[in-house]
Amino acid sequence: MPITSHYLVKRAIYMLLSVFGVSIIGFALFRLLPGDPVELMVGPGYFAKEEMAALRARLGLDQPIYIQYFIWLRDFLSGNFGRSFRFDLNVLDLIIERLPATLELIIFSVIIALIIGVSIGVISAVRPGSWADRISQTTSFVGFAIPHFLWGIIFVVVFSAALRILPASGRLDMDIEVNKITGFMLIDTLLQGNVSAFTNALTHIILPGLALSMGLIAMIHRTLRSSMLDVLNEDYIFTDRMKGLNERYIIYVRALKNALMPVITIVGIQFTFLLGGSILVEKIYGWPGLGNLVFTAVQYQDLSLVQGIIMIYAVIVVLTNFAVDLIYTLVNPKVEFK
Amino acid sequence: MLSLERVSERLKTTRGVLSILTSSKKMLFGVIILLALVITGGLAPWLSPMDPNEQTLGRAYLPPFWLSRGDPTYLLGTDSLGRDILSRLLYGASVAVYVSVTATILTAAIGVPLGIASGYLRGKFDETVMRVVDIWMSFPPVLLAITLISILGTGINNVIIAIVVADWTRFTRVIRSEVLNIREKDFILAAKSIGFSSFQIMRYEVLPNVVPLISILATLEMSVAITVEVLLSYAGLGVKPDTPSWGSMIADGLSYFRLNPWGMLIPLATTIIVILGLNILGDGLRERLDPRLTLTR
Repeated sequence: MPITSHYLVKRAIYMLLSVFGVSIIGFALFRLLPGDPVELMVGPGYFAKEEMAALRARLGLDQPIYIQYFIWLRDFLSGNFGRSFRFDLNVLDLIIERLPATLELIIFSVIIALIIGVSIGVISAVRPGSWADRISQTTSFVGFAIPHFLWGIIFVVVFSAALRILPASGRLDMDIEVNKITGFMLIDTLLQGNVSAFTNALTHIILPGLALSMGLIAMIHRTLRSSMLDVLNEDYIFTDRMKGLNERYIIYVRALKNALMPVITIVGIQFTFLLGGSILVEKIYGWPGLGNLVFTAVQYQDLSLVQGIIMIYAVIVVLTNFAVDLIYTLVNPKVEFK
Repeated sequence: MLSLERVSERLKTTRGVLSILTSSKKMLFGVIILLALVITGGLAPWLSPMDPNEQTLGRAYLPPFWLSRGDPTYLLGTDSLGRDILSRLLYGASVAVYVSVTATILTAAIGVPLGIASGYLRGKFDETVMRVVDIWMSFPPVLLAITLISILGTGINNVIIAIVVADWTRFTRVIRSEVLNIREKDFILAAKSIGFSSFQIMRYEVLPNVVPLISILATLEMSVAITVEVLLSYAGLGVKPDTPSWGSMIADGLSYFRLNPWGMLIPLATTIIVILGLNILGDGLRERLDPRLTLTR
């Protein structure tokens, strides 16, 4: 298919341009704003004046700004994000160590959102205007309007502080040891056949996962409700009913299959919002992922670490958008690049 | 729904605006919340029963007055340092009002002209602006705000800068796509044919027609700005520690939740009600003025 391959090339070039643009902003944020980059890098008051000047020359900071940018870009592309003075570790290593926890939280919340969102979406669409529909609509309005981090606090207060039924922080109880295989706690515990650790990890991920999924549940509900209403009015559903097929089969198999398409798109688009939302949710729940690392980095003014993290987030967003577009074109070849 | 022309017509008179704002229960609720916020925030120094930073350690952890241990001098009780929660809440409202109104005006000041020019002029200018918007949106706004605060330092004005830098793209994007529709209308063609310049068309023909949209976006932007301020202050990255803020009250309150849960429940509930109120107002305006618009974050 020539149109598709042409589109793919265009889309890939666009993605590379985006990474380039992201790198310019990521660089400019830290170099053009007030503050001495060397001091930002090693921490305030670490070196004497002469040593600072020598270090500046060695890092090429006495060069013109565009040359500095290319030096920085070269380092960035080769995976050299600098050193975190707070942890005394390579920034990229730190990020890679923390990334699985963040991804696990986000993927978990997408799964919760799909389960709840699709269920209430179908309920709403099957009986539009009923009390169940109205309750679902109000819930989804509130779920959407209140930001992730407030949900996080509400759930901590209700389920941890008041009811004391779910833990409020971390990924596991302190006294449980799990060997790291994939870095995904729920998968690692299962791989090691440790069911009690798995259950423990599950109780820890429920609250942050639910807090993060609230907005997405609302989006899925709204999208599915309207697409399902459209699909239910189509001729083939009418034919199915005429043929006397089981109503449940018509709704959950025949109609839902087609109504889910826009939901997939929404999940793809919302993924980047979940990435942003996870930062504060991680902070609230002491979740040891990238979001929590940002706050540690900011607290200690560890700006090479902050810069590394912000670049990683932006690159993940660009790559996700690219992937969503690709999947969408594969599923629906009518789409073309505008 | 009113037609675009009729909405613009109504927005020119105070009575017209009032008739739109009171046209549904939803909208009325939103308007009341917004007014309550602006009035209490604006009059905080006069309404507050005491100095929000005055500490009376002997009177710490008091519950609100309606509970048995409550003290009518401290209507909503006191926090871990014996500071009056009501006064802190009112001063926190003034921070929320200042931050949200200023940040909304600034994001609109960037986004509205940029969106109009981009959508009306099209071509290279539009392409460049949209590329920058796309790339900018690759950074999660919260992360961008946190990063800016880490570079600029805490403080109320830096919070505003962080919000504007993180969120200017919303106005630009939404206004642009609306202008893409408006520029195809007959009255634009008419203006062109009588010799209006591009600037004149944008100023006198396009701008008045995006006013309804601006009002919707502004209410939403206010709720976003309040969210970001609360969130940054919650994380200790917002206003300076001696300025009362709902976010820092929530964070403090969580730490002494067992001793006096009201210390966090009151600011949390206030934040939620205000954010919900603004969203309901935005939603009501959208239903009334422009039902085609689907809300995105």
